[in-house]
This record gives sequence, structure tokens and C-alpha cells, in this order.
Amino acid sequence: STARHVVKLTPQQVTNILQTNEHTHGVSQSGVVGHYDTNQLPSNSPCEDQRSEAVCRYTGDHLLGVYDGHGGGACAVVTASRLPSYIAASLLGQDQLMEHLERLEVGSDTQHSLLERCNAISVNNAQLEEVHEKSYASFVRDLVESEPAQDIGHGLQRAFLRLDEDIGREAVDAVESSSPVAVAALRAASSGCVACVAHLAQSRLYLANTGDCRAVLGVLNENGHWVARPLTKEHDCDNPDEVQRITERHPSSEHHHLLKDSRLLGMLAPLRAIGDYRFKWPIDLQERIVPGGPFPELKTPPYLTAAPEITYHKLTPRDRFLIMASDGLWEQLPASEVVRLVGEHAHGKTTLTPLRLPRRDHTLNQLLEMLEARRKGIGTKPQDANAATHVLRHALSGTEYGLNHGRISQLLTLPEEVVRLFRDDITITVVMFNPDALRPN
Amino acid sequence: GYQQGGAPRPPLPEEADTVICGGGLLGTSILYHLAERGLAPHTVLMDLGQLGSGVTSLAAGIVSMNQLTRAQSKLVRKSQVLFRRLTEAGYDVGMEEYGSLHLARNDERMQQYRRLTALSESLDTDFQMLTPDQVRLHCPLLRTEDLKGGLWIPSDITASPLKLTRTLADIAQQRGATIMERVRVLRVLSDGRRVTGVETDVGTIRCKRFVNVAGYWSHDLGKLSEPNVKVPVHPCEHYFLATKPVDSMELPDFSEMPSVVDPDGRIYVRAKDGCIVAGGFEENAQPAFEEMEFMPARFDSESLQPDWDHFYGLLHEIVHRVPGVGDATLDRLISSPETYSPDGQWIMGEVPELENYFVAAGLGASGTAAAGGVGRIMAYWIVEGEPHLDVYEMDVRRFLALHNNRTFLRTRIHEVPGQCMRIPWMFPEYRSGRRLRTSPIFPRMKECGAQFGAVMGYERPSYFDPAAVTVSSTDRQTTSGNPQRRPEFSIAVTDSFGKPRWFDRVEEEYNACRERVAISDYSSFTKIDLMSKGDEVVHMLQYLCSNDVNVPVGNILHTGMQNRHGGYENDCSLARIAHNHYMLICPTIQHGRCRSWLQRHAPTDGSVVVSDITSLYTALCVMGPLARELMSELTDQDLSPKSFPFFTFKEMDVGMIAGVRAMNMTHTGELGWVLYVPNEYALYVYDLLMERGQDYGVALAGYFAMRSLRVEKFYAFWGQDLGTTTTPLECGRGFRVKFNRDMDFIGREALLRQKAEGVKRLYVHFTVQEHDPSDDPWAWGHEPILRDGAYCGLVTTSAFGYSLGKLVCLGFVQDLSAGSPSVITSDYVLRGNYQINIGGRLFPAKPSLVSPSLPTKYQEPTQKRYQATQHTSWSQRG
Repeated sequence: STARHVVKLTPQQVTNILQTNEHTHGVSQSGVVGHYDTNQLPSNSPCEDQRSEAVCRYTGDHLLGVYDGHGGGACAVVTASRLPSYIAASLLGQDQLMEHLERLEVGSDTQHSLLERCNAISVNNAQLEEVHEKSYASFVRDLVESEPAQDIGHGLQRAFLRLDEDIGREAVDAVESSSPVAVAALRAASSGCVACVAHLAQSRLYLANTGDCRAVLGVLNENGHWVARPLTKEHDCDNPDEVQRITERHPSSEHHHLLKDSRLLGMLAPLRAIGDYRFKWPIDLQERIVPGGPFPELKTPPYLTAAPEITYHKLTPRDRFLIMASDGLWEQLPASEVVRLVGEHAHGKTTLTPLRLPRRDHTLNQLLEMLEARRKGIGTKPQDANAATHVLRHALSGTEYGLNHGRISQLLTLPEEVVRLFRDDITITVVMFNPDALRPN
Repeated sequence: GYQQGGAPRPPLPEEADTVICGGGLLGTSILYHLAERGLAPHTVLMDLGQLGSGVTSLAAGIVSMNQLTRAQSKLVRKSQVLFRRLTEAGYDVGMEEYGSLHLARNDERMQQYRRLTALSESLDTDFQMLTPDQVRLHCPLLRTEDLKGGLWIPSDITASPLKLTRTLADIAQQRGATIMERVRVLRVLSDGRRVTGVETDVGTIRCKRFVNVAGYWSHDLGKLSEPNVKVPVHPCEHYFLATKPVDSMELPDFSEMPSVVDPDGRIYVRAKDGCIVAGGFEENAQPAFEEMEFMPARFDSESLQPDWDHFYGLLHEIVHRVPGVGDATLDRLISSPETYSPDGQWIMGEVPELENYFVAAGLGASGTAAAGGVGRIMAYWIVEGEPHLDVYEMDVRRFLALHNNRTFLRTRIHEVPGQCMRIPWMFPEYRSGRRLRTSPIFPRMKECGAQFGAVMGYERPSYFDPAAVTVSSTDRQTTSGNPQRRPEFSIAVTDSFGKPRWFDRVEEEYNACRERVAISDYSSFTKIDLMSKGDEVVHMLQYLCSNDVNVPVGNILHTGMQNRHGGYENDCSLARIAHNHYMLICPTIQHGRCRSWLQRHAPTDGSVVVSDITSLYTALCVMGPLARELMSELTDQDLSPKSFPFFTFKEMDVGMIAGVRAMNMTHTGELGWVLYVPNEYALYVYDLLMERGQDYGVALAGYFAMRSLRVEKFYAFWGQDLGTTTTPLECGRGFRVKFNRDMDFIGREALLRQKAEGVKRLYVHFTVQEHDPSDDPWAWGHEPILRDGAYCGLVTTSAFGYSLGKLVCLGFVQDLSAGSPSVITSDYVLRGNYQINIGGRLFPAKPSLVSPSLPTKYQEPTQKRYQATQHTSWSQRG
């Protein structure tokens, strides 16, 4: 055993760590979106999760995304920085799109011009960014020449697929032309990321989801209870539709190893993703450009798609907030619990996790005392103003007797080599709605 | 006998008379009662799991006569009789006879117990009022210093639901019944009209009748047939705990303690097998399986994790009431999914969607108490096609499609379990699942301060509170200081057994009806059009109605629709729109029931079209002595009694619109019209009436004012005064029965027989004497009537008669001197000295068999006063 000496964190140190990455964007008192609370707690170094929040300049629509990278963070960074622009462009009207294209061609617009971003994500590579600019301009050109999106869902889908296609193509072009960005482009294409993006225009909420992030709506039902309404489905082996989709696509001779250990080809947990071109490119192409060649399990690629599943929901005054988070959170807390925490946080009180009795005898008087103590706990004010931080704190330290400092201290001081076993990167975005703005006039 | 765990299953018979789905206590009770009727060899009971499995074995099993309604108490009485009989025959059903003790922390609760105690005789049960000291004598373990007193029911028992289930199943099986365990019902087969069989995972069985008693799964099971069957129930989590065996040294006297119910603390406690079982019914219960799309067909007792914080309040009350229990050791806290209906009443009967499809559900946590009586009445219903008791308030036909909506059920159901602990004041209202059915003038009513009551989901103003209009409403959600006042939806509250808080408001509305003119919203009434090509509709209605429907076109008639015993299946008004077209108007609560009765009796060739037009018309009643003057400002129609007499109908123009069906009658005995206005014109007509009405001092009148008017004038209402066991001859409506026409109709034979033999009860109008409405308790219904000091019947409905200045009670008088009712005469009724027992106090009452003459400023000189109740003079016969 590896007994090690750990300095216990003070409560203030815990709070400092939890609040390091928290952000609150106040948006408006009158619009549908009241404000966003976000937070991230890395487990990998660097963090493989990304997030994006932006407002479309022309329409005022909100675009929020949560991205969970794997096999390195490159793909998640590229996706988080580019996908919102691809979406904004693909939803733009033809006239504005043409003006945008003209300005792109003379260099007065860039791929980021359509958005006002709350957080900037940079790929930190000027040459690679130049490649991205070119791909983007070419996408806009194609958009001008093609039919406009039938609806927002279709626009979202087009943006996801095109960005994924561009990431792959850029890598192939760069390697084959021995460009100086070859290594970076190939890293982006061979790492992967799952993405969950919300598009909110007034009360019309669209979600595009690829992979295993989740978006959950917090609904205050008529009984005054918080109800979690899932708006996305995870694309993993627990989803029978996904399993069916994948098995139908490949010959039965492959079925025994297709979803081995609940992972695609025994390797990848999400069953849809952006990037991950080693599951997508044809075998001969990979033999040419991928160092080390294709995986031996690879028989009939592509195994993976970036196509998002689209959900539409019309918000009602009962819909109080939207929570988007990477699987790091959902592994710690069920959706119903997260919704209750955020809901009660909004109402200014926190609750504890349900009481589970230890297996020993209690008299009714002892139980009564225990429950009274819990009620006092229920009355205490939350330590965190930020709802995402509040959820994070409970995810890490909630116990049946209240928040346990020892537990969170331990989880936050785990050595780097084991931390990944206990918790994944956690990204949480909470969008609070203005119920008044959702009420019919 | 009965199948154990993995024992081999008998093959599924090819055919059966009756298939029962659900092997809980209720299902086996129905099976047992069918066996009692000799039908065991033709009956198959199937269950997905094992009989009586699950947590029911731990339930408290209190079988108490203290129920919310009289009909429920009567069914519980039958359960007690059955459980005693089984015990006497040597079966072990876990019965214990330590009585039950019901505690009161306040005066209104004491009043509830006094009212129940007054019913001792009519419920054949000894109820005793106790002082706090007497409570302590009955159960020394209780804390009593905060009690006002209690109610002691010595004959109440407890029984084990699990042992009962096994015993009843064993007996039925010995008599030849088939019990199939581990069988899943896949579809209930039908020919579209009646049940023909059941498809299961072990094969298909043909059958003539199907009984859905699948507990909380019955809602989903209802969807496994074509057409779907509505079973509006949803489970709620019921919390109770069991302790480990209690040391009798520390808690003396506890093993023989009675069942203790402390409704003001929402809890119950009893001793069971040396342990304590205690639980309660919180105000806001947690729906079970709320987030699941479908109910789990089978319940695994571990699947509901009890929420201790939720149980805190109840635990606190339990330990407060029985302090010694605090030292007992917990064995387990159980969260058991109990199934409730959205109105809290039990559900039973034959469904309207399919013939011979029966259902019994929604017994909540009263399963053990109800099972014997409900099983008995269901077996009777299944065999005879009708129940032997009037249980209209539990009839499954009371529901509309909306009641079966899962979102509605989920929303409403959290309020329902706690109802059993409320003080049963009149006119209870639920707060959730409201504003679902509203008339077009609902917003106008709301602006005028309407306090609403819901009937069949329909919002109906009970009364108007002008003070509620001036109170500025602040919407909690509105952050900006919006100066515009939004009138809030407000629910009528009746929270006393004495003079209600709305007394003065209703008096004003009443006076407007009697002295000026008032508008009342009657839109919730059931409205049905019946049409045919030729005179098929006349033949159909002649057979269904006890009055002669062949009146001239343009006339309205009142008629009962009797059952074969002469009782009222329905009570309605029929307007003859054309020779082959009638419009039928009947009570709101008859909506589902009446449609189903008509459909079942309509010619099978489809020649009579029955269409429900309830939702097409807004009904505005314009009543009062100035109604004619006001109406004449709105229409060119000659409204004089000569050209538009009472009990006639005209389709007329009002203001600038047309097509209003105006009926000269008001259902309350006032001069006036009910205007059936096509919905799109409703606001226009309403606004016009209110605008023109200013000059006449027009007012709005709610349901309570209308009730006061009709009770005072001796108008009987179906469901409140009349029911399936009341005949027209008993309630002064013999004059509306077509005895002298040579025409057959349902119930004719029974009525002719009764006419010849004489009646055994008569409907009587009582004015209560020596009663101070401000200080004395009020009669609200179900008060015992005493004739010359002896119990002779019960009050059906009661209201304050503002013209008489007295409380008025309507009710039936019987002669019970021979033990069972004897034939009585009008003279017998009028000769007696009467008293009404209101909460244990006897008030003298003056009987009358005719409507009273009420003083009025305006006489209707040309028109003979109409009397809804006209007793033929019953004299001694033979």
C-alpha cells in the first residue's frame, strides 16, 4: 500500500479551488436568459473539457456549448473555438451571409465576427488558425450557394458535420503537403471530443448533442417539486438505439468486438464524436498518414459519426433553468439531484443528500434527533453564489449528514496519477431563465 | 390449496365466466364473493407475481368505521362483518378486537366526532365521545394534555391483509376457483362493445367478464384494450414504520392498546405482534413512480427508497403523541405505493367504454378496511349488473377523459392521501389541477371576485366576494412594479360546521334572485342532443324516461330516467327542439354516466344520434322577478307568459346575435330563463346582460345561492337528494310518471307495484326551529331525523332559507318501529313530532310535504306557482 502524507485543506482553500474557474455572466432582466453560471474542475492536466458561451450578433440568439475531449485536449479546443461560428453562419439569412462573405474575402471579417463571445477559446497557433479561417470562408461560400437551412435543427446538424469534415480534411491536406501545421492538425483530427450545444431563440430551445454530455431542464412542477427533464440522450452502450445503429452498420462478423467492454472497438466510450479520425478514415488513408497505421480492429470504417441528435423544446414558465454538463458531473450525481440542488439554490437554500441509515439499531428518539439536525442543515445558506459551484461542491462533498469537508479535501488533494480514477474533468453550465419572459402576454 | 412460490402453474383454461386481473386483497375478496354466489368454478384470477406479495403484509390493517363518507363507512361495516365471520369459522385472518381511538386537538374536530356519534344508529355502530381523561383510560400511553377529547369506537378491529388474502384465496380455490400466478396480461380482447377474452403470456382465455383490480397498474392495464378504459388512479408513497419487538416492561399496557388515530397530527399508531406500527398521511404526499412513463407492473419493495426528511414531521407527531414509542428500536421505515383517485373517492363499477369490463381501484391506504365491503358489492355488481347500494360517488362512470391524463393525475394526487385526515367540512376543494374546464365568461366572473368550486373539473362560482376584487394582487413572479391589477383565481373555502364565512355574501346574491334579477353560470350542466330521422328518438326516450316525452315541439319536460327498480338513474330536463330532436339537460356529475346510459340503450342500428354538446353552449341563467324586463331589452321576442309560457323553449335572437336556446325555467323555482348561448357569443350576451341589467340592479349569483333557493323551495337534486334507490313516488314526483299512458318504460313495473303497495319512505321539507344560525351548529347533510324521539331517517341536503330565516333540511322519513321500514302515509309523516340531531343536539323541526309559500314583493299573477315536489296524498291502503 502507498500510505502518503496529505495536508488537509482548510475550508477556505477548498472554496478557493472550487471557485477558481467559476464565471457568472449576467445577461438581462427582460430576456429569456437571466444569466449563466459556469464552472470547471479539471482532473486531467491540462483539462480536456471546454465550454463556450456566445450571443449571435445578428439574431441575439444564445449559443452555449459543453465539450468533453478525449485522447488529448486538441480536438475539444478546436471544436469549442470553431463550432459556434459554424453554427452562427449556417443559421444566417442569405443577404447577411453574402455581406459576411464579402467582408471575409476582403479581410474585414474573421471566423469569429458573427459572435459576441463570453469566453474566448484560442488554439494558440497562428498558422493553424489561418487554415481554420480558410476552411471557414469556404464553408460560408458553400452556404451562400446552397439552400438555406430548413430549420434551426438542420442548421445545427450541418455545422457539426461540416466542422468535423473540415477537421479531417485539414489534417489530411497538411500531412500530405508536409505543411508546418501537420502535427497540430493531425493531433486535432486524431483526438476526439463530444459536444452538446444549446441554441436558444426566445423560448425556442434547440439542443444538438453528439456523445455523452447531457443537458437537463429544471422544471418546477405544479406541486412545487423540482423535476429533471432530460433533453439529450447519451450516445453510449447503454442506449439501445445507438447500439442498434452501430451493429446494423457493420457486418455480423465484427459484432463480437464492435462494442467490447461497452466501448467502441473496446476503446471509445462515446458512440458519436467529433474528430477521432482513426475510427473514421479509410484503412488505406490511415496507412499513408497516421504514424503507426490503423488500429488492428479496424475493418469497415467509418465506425463513428459526428452527426448530432437534435432535440427541440419550447420553454414554458415552469422551465426555470438548463443544466449542461460533461459526464464528469453525471457520474457523481443523478440528474434529479442536480436539478434539486440548483432549484433549491435558486430559492436560497441547500439540501443534503438523502439519509441512508447505517446498519445498526436506532431508537425513534435518536432518529428524530438526527432528522432535526438535518433540518438545521437544510436551513443554512449556500456558501456559493454560483449555482455551478454549488453543484460542484455537493458533487464532491455531499453525504447523508451534510457537506463533508474531509471528503472534498481528500478528493481535491489526490495525486495527479490517481485523480482520474476518482473523478473526471467536470464542466457545468447553468442557464437561469426569466420565468416572466416565458409567460404569454 | 394456494400456489406457493415456484410451484407448477395450472394450465390456463380456455374459457371462463369471469377473469380477475390482480391478486391483492381486493381481487381475492371479489373472487371469494363470486365463490359465495356459487361462481367459483367459472372464475379465474391472475396475478403477475404471487398473491398478496409485497409490503401489504406489513400494513397496519386498521378497519375503522370513521370514514370520510357515509357510503365508505357502510362498506367498511361489511368488511368487519366478513372478517368476524371468518374468524368465528376458525380462519386466522390476524383479527384483533381492541377498538379504535380517534383524538381531537380542537373544537371543530370534536364537532366532527359528535356528528359521527349522532349516526350510531344509522351505521349500526357504537360511537362514544370521550373527555381527555377518558382517552387516557383507554390508552394510558398517550400524551393527552393538548387534547380536547376523542372518539371511541369499541367495535373497530384490525386484521392482517396478507392472512386475509390467503384465506379468501384458499376458500375460493376449495370451491373450484382457478388462481394463476406469474401471468402477465397482454391484452383485454373485445368486439368493440363487450369483453370477449384476455390474452396473456401463457395463452388466451375467452371470458364474458373482466375485472381490473391491478392496483396502481390498473391505469396502464386500462390501456390494454380497444377502446381504452379510463382508470384514473396514481400511486402515492405512504410512509409507515415498524419497530422491533417492544419490551413490555418498558411499555406496559401496550399489547392491548387500541388503534390510535390522531388526525390533527396526521398520524396513526397501533400495536401489532408485539411491535409498534405507526404512520401518517402528510398534507403534501409524494407521488410514486412519478418520473416513469409506465408504472412497474410488479412492485419490488426495495424500489421505493423512503425519504427520511419527508417523514420527519410525521415521526415528530408519533413520538409526541406516544412518548414511550421514542425508546423503541426501529425495524424499518416503509414507503408503500398506495393508489388514489383524483377526487379521493374509491372507484368501482362497470366502465362506460366496454360492457362487462369491471374495475375497482383507488382505495388508497384503506385497502384492508375497504376490501370486504367493496369485494361484496363488486361481486353483486358483476353478477346482477348493478350495485345493491347507492354508491354513485364511487361509480367509475363519474370520470371524464381529462381525469385519466397522467399529468393531471401526477399534479393532483399529492393532495389526495392527506384528505383522510382533514375535518370533513362541506364543499371540500382541491387546490391543484384547477382551471381545466372553464366557461367563456370565466375571466369576467374572476374579475368580479368569484370564489370557485370545481365540479367534474368545471370551475363554477360558488359565491362572489366583492372584497376580493379591491385587494391588489401582487404576482409573486412579477419583479417590475406592474400597476395593472390581475384578478387572481380564488377557491371557495368552507371551514366550519357552523355558520359559514360566506353567509352574508350569499344572502345578497339570494336577495338579488328573489327581489331583482341575477345572472348565474350554469355552463357546467351536462347537455346532450338526441336526434333521429324519424320518430326513433321519441321511442327511445319513451322507454328510458318515466315521464311522457311526447310533448308539443317547443315544450320542456322534467323527467326521471329510472332503473328497473324504479330508482333514479338520472334526473333531467328535456326540451323538444323538433319532432325528432330533443335537448337533454342533466346534472354536471351525470356527464359520463348519462352518456353511457343513453349509449347502452340507443338502438343498435344507429338510428338515434346521441351527441354531447356540453362544450358547445354557455348556459346563463337569468332569474328573478325582473328577469322578464331585463330580457325584453335584449330581444324582440314576446316574453309575456302567454306567448312564452313557463316550461317552454324558443330559439331566439339576443342583441345582434341569433341561435340562443332560451328555456323558461331556472332549476330553482325563480321566474327566469336559462339561455344556452353558442360559446362564441357567450361574452357578448353576458356583457349585454350586465350592461342592460345595471338599471335593474343585476347581480351575479353563485352555486351556494342557487342551492339555498332550491333547498328552501323543496327541489330535489340528483346525487344529493335522489339516487338510484329513490323512486319518484317517494320524493313527490309521481305526477311526472306516465302511469295512465299504456306505455312501457324502464322501472314501470316496479313503480306500479310500489303505487299499489304504498311507499316506505317520503321526502320531507323541514324547517329547523329554536336554532340560532350564528351560534348553533348547522346541518350539512346526513343528520339523523327523529320522529317522536325515534330515529326515522337522514337529512339529505340542507341550506339556510333566507326568506324563511331558518335552516331548511330535506330528507326522508321512514317508519322503523317494526325493525324494518313499513308502509307510511302522508298523515303519518305530518302527525309526528320531529327533531333533527345536529352534532348531538336535538333541534325541533317542522315537517312539510309541500313547498313553502315564500313572501315576495312581486307576484306572478297570471301564472300558477310551480312546485317541483308534489306529494300525492298517500293514505292507508289494503
